Amino acid sequence: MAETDVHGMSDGQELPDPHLDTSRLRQAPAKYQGLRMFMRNKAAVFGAVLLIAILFITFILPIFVTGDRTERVGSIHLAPGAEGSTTFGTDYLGRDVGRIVMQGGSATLKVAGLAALVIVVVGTTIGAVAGYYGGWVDNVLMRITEFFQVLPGLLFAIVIVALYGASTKSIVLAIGLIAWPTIARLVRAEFMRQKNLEYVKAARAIGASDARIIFKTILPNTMPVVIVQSTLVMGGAILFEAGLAFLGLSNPKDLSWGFYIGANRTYFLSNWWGLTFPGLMIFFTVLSLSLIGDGLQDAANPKLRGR
Amino acid sequence: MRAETPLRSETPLLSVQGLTVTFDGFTAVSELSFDLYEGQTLAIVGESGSGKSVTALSIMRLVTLGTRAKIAEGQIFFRQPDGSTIDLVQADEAELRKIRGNQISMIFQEPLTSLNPVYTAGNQVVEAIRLHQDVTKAEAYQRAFEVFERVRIPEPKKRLKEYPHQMSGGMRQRVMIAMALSCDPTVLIADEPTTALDVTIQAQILGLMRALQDETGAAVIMITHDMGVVAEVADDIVVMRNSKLVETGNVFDIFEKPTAPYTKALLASIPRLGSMTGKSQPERFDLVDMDAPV
Amino acid sequence: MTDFETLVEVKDLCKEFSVPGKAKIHAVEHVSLKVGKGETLAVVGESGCGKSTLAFLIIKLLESTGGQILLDGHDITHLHNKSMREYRQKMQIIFQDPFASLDPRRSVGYAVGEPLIVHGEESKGAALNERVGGLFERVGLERDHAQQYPHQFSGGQRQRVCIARALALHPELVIADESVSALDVSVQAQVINLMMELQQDMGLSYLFISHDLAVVERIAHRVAVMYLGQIVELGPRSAIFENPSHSYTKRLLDAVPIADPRQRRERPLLTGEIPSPRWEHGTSPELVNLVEVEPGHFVAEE
Repeated sequence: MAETDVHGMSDGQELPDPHLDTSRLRQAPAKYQGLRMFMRNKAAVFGAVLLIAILFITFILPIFVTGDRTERVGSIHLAPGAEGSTTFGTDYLGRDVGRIVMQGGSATLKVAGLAALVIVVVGTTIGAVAGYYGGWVDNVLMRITEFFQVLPGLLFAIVIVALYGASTKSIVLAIGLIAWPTIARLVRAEFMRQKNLEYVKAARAIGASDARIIFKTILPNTMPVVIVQSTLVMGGAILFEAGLAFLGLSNPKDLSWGFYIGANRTYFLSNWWGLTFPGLMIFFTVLSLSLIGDGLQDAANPKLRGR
Repeated sequence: MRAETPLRSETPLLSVQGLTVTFDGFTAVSELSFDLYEGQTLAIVGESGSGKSVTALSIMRLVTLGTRAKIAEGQIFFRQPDGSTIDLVQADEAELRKIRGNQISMIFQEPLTSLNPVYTAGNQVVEAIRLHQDVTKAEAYQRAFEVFERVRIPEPKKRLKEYPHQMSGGMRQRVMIAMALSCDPTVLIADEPTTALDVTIQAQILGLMRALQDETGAAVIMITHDMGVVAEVADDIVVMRNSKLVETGNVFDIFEKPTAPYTKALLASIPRLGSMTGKSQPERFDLVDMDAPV
Repeated sequence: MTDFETLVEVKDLCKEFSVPGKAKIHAVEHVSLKVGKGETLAVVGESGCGKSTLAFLIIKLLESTGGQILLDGHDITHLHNKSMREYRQKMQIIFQDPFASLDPRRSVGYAVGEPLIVHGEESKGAALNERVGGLFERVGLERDHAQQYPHQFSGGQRQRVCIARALALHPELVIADESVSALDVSVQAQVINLMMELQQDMGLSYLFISHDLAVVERIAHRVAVMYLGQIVELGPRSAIFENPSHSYTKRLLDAVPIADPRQRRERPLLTGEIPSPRWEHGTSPELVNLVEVEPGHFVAEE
């Protein structure tokens, strides 16, 4: 049978047909398109570079820097660059601010990362189930979601940490419990929209089970939204952890950024560096995450792809 | 050209009896009955709100998804390949999942949205096969390749790896048909499969569906509002209006000797290509009152 | 060739859209045509052929990138706002989706009366109500319907409202952009009948944009077939439908399913795509050359 890939179904090709070369219309493989869209957003690339730098400073660099961060390296309150001081100055105990900030980041990022994971997993699951099934399931889950949403977040977290002690586990739990409703609502809305699309109907029509439709059919389509939101959630978790630590609700041995700001706040007028450097680290980390989130939003939008 | 009246085995493949579907008290389908035989193409025709799509979804028992619809009454008897007959209205989810996509499959109107955008075309067909058949990924892939060839997709190897957004509407509809045929169903339900397509692409898909039916022997239920499509593919017609059956019969009888006033009105209002031959000026439709008493 | 006095003339009209990736969509390429007074010119073609863009260019919802548009002999190609105002009244458009083109929070009477207020023909009060009521009757609706809201109407009734709105300012040209495509067949036939009746009574000209050849055969005096932004065949309806001469026109006509089971067509098992009018930077489509094969019947050379 004669098959042609051109529109010409009769013999003569009457017009200059730009479709003769059909490959011209086809776009680059989809897997690279996301990356390309991301790379096009300059601010997002900057954010990614910034985050990589921060991760390098907090996780890789400490391996090569010897010495205990709690050890005294000189007189107290030495300004950065002053005689006998270190690059980032010393604090109220004569410790090196640079080294503490460098190593304290891992605690902050670990707590924030774990909390974001809890938020995304719990929020996505609850949102998916509520959105997919609707009806009474949705009603019950949404009332629960609302309950957590109206809780005064900081107060609730303080109670949890006070009850279970200032461990990584309790802080992650506290942040996770108060922040999941946002993602749950977002995922629920996505599921409610997507479950009525024809490809979901088509999936049911080929005999797919509910679990399969939720996790293998709809969820991959909501991932862009979830991923974008999780970068913002992570930024929020860092700020929240810093807030708790500032109030002293964190493991003091971790010397996390927030905790360290709290510890230095009494000396703010004479010692600006003890506050500024951990503060800048928090600022840049949150900024980088939000810039990345913005870039991912572009990358995840199929309408912008192939441009 | 196929025979005007296909040969019929005594028992129908699918028998819908007294089907009534309601949404919150509103009746979408009311006491509908019809039979579908092996190798037959049955067109369910009607205008918007006639209940034709709800009927299709009810056979697949997909009508209740996310809505308050329920099948209030009736039976849908389906003769399975092993010879046993099952009432799809009473069947539980597990039984239905075995039937859907395997023995009865469905294609939808919008080729743009009926494929999952995050998976390649091949991946989706492979998954559909593996859902019903105990085969390895490689075997399923080979099978997907064969159905792609069967639906005349050019360069099937390459197309298997493409994502839906890289394909034209006509190509996506071919992929949908491939997916629907991948497990050799005995009944194929097509819900307005060409409505969203351009006319030259529609012609290709109609030609393909006709050829595939001859090759596979599957029975087809074609849901459509387009009398041109009906005239081209159907053996028999069920005309629906306002959730009820208006008239049913052989395609030639319905087109040539419609009995119900609604069918007459419907046929009178169709623009027929070639009907204006020899006329110099545009001409109004000679409309018939669709509510006239019989 | 036609017995109609020219109302609108389009000469070498072009529209290019820049698209990302250093390419251009040549949506409309050097299109020339005339619409006579009281005549229906149908423009047919498949998606991406440029028929809707052409309609938007003529009614100046889009700015053309080349060529001329003459309305009653006046060049309106580069007119804007104020100077365009008097001509704008003479051309109205009806879209495919009547629901989307009506404000759901306004009564349909307001929708029909609005153009009259905007163009300062009527202000509020009894006179306006009278005119709106008259328009409703004209399109086969009841006067009382004016009080109601779009969602209270069926698709066909909503399209009648849109027609009434288009007629409010006594236009000479009405552009119908797939105006009956979304309607159920029985309703579609009624709306087409109404449009033909209005044409007879009011001497309207229609530019009827459609993909449905069977509908076009009913309503058109003349037909233009578009393919990739260009007209490949143009002529009286009978010439296009009874003596199609361009291979694309033939292909299009062959593809239409005929609503008669005795006329089933053999369908070749081909695959094909509708080509895209997208052109890389520096390339452009080759222009077709239209030749008059019989009086008024133009066909692109192949």
